[in-house]
Amino acid sequence: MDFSLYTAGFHLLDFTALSFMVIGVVLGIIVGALPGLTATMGVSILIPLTYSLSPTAAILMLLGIYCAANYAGSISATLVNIPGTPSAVMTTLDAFPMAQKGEAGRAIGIATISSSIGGLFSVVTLALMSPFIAEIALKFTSLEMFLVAFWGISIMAYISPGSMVKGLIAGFLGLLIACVGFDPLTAVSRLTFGSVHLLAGVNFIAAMIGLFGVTEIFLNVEKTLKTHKHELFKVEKSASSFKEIKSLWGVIARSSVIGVIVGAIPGAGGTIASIVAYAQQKRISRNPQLLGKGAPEGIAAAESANNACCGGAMTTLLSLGIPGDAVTAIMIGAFVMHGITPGPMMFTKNYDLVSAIFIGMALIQVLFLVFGLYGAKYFARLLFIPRPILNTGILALCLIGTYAIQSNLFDAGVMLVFGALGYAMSKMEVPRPPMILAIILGTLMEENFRRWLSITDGDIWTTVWKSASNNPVTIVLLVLVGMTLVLPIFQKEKIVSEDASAFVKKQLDEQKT
Amino acid sequence: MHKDYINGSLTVAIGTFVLIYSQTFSRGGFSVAENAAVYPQMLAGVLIFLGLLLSVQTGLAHKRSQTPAPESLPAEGGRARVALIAGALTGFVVITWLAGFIPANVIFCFLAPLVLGTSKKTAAMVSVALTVFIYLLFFKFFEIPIPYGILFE
Repeated sequence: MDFSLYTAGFHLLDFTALSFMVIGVVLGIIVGALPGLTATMGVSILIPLTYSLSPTAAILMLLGIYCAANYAGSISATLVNIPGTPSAVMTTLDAFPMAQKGEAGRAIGIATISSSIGGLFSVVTLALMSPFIAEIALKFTSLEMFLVAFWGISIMAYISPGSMVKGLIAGFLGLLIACVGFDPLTAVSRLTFGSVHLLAGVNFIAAMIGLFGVTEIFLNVEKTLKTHKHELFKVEKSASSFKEIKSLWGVIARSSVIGVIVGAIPGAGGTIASIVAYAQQKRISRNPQLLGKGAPEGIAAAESANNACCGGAMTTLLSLGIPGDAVTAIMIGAFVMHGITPGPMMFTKNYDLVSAIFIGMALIQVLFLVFGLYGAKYFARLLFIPRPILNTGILALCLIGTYAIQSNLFDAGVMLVFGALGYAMSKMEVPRPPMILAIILGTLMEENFRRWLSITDGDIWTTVWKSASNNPVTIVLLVLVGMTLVLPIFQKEKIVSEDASAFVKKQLDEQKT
Repeated sequence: MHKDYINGSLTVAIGTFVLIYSQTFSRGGFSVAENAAVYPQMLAGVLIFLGLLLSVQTGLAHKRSQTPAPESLPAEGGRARVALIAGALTGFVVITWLAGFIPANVIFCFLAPLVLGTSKKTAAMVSVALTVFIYLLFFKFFEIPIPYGILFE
């Protein structure tokens, strides 16, 4: 094993990079603690801000937002019974009842420490697994690269709520949007309708900010005008929860493993990880009747799993270039903006940066542990920020952030169009994550597909057969793609999203009774 | 009309349009791989298939259960607020293009909170505070060139 991969990045962690990492963690806690703002939205809005930073500072800042927001959803879940991020939905079941008993500080403490341990476990897995997966992926042919990217999009379509066909439609529309501009092989202009601005293609960061930033605000504005007027529970002595963690080691370890595995499945994400871990805990707990009524093991299971997801999602991103969830899909955009293509080549071309990511991600888990334990009561006050002011500020940031990417107002127009498209998609119940993933991976997919087409001289099926009979990796990928596309036909219900929401509903009903 | 019939029809329409429009692309080369239209045409073909599949699925599901799925309704006046905010955002882009960022941001950050239910006094304070904050963060700290608008450039 080459241990230099775990130390080579230290020289990139200068004062600027570390400062932006801290800023990222603080922003992440803010984004996560405020219901209605998600890690996806936070990362997509703040990507343009990282344009002038070094790649290390930029990526660490975004990772700080990602990991800390995943954790901070537990703050509002505990204090106002509303998960700050969707992945904290299971935390509300036990953290809020605990807060009602006057133990808000204890609940936040358990959530913070469990999140941090889950996150650290996932970083270790990331650091150990990703070099091996990348080594295998480096041997992939054009056909296999195409299949990996296509599998990523189809599994995201499968896991998104609603019909898989709609997820696939969103994905294929995204692939079509990625065709806009110069053809990557022959430089023929396509689908530009005479616009010179579109020759370089649709700016995917503007599309992301539109689909995830502007759309989310439109949906927030539509739902309510109200600001939280709850009486907040007093948060004290979060740090004393360290003693209690000893009795929860088993829960945290088991849930962290679940989190890492679920996180590595493209499209799954923290919400599903926490639901699976919570359900598993309920199944094996000695006192299952206590879960949902303020049990520390419920909080520990949900929180360690949803934070362990970050490392799982980053494993597939760094080793295969395939994101594990919506946030890492958006993060591909940040890598590309800084001239880095996420995937196996990073382990040769950007060796130091990969190492800095491992070290930085471990530091981030420690940072939010400290901020969370000692600053939760201050972050909780953010819940009083009036919604109209928050929404206005975010929209202004979306617009100027999009402009800042290339100092071009056309991109702001693109953002508006995608904001409206995202809103329409949401109303028509068509999932957005497959579309953004397809826009990002579209060019890579087309390049590999056309390269393969050119090698085979158009004889696709013979070459697939030849490749599959010579290479087991092709067979595995073909089976994975086939299973993802065919499995839903034989299933009456979707395994993940719908069963998950039914599970949450059942738990909430139990809690009420 | 069921939402998914609309989704299916729109998908078929987009696929058909791309299939026809892509025939106008220059060829780029003689082999299949060099034909710039091949890939978009393939995607368009798949979209048409998926659009038809969605419509058929919806039709079959509709036959099985005649009770419409409950729809979550937005808060009162919700859609009007979205339309107003979307309009204000479009105005923000247009005014930035014409008169530059600062006047556009001042106007947007005053109007948007008003639409969302705050008082004029709060809206005015928000407008000034947000403009100063964004100006300092983006244009001073991150040194991004400020848009002055075509009227003042």
